[in-house]
Amino acid sequence: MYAHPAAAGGFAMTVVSLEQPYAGHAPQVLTLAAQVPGGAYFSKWIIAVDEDVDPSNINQVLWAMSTRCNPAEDIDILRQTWSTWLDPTQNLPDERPYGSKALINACMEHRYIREFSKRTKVRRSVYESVAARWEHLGFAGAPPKLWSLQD
Amino acid sequence: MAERRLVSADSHVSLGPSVPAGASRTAAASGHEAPRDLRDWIHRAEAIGQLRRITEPVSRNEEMGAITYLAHQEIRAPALLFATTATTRSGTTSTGSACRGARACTRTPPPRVASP
Repeated sequence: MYAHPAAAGGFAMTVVSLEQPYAGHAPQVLTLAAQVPGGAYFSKWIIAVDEDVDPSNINQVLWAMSTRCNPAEDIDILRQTWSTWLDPTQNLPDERPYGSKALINACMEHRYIREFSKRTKVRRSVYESVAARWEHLGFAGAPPKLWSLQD
Repeated sequence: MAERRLVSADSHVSLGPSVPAGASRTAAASGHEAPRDLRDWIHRAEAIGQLRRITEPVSRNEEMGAITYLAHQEIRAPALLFATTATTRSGTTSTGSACRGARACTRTPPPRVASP
């Protein structure tokens, strides 16, 4: 789980990385993450991604939203939710305690998860070989770590 | 040669149909002409520190992709130019022949050497 600091100090966006063990699990997690006491206040964007996506890496989250989310099917809106007097998008200001949330399911479609397009990943053996050669290839510093590799 | 009009000198300026009459300059004179070929683009990328040459032999079978993917975990990582491709495990030969490279860069290919 990650709350990106750029989203109003981590206030407005919650990203959850999960495995999908059964039908309906991702929407279940989204709903809970949107409404647990620690997550319900103000948060506008609740995003579920699969376990191969690093929730703290906004680039990977955008990739998942682009390749695993069909907006017409995978976004639900909660309305009249717990918000804050600080929200500048609610006007007149009297509206501000009442917000809304988008629950974005950016996981592979569970109904067709076996048929879902396979993603590309770096093979673990290739990663280890490249990481061992990293300095020799002319790069400074430690080789970057990858969140998921192909086994 | 017809004058090419400069639409936008900066990438963050929106590309609009109207350029003020006084702002009309030739693109070449402004230094913002689009690169005419890959070599030109490589030179320009290198001039702004956005090109890294990899001289170690690298397999184009997965290894080259893995290196690029790893290097680009960093935002604004430079483009990578691989000078040498190693022979891949499947036995195919290097893609980096002088002949094909020259074709890609619009130069006259070197004379063909008869195979032994």
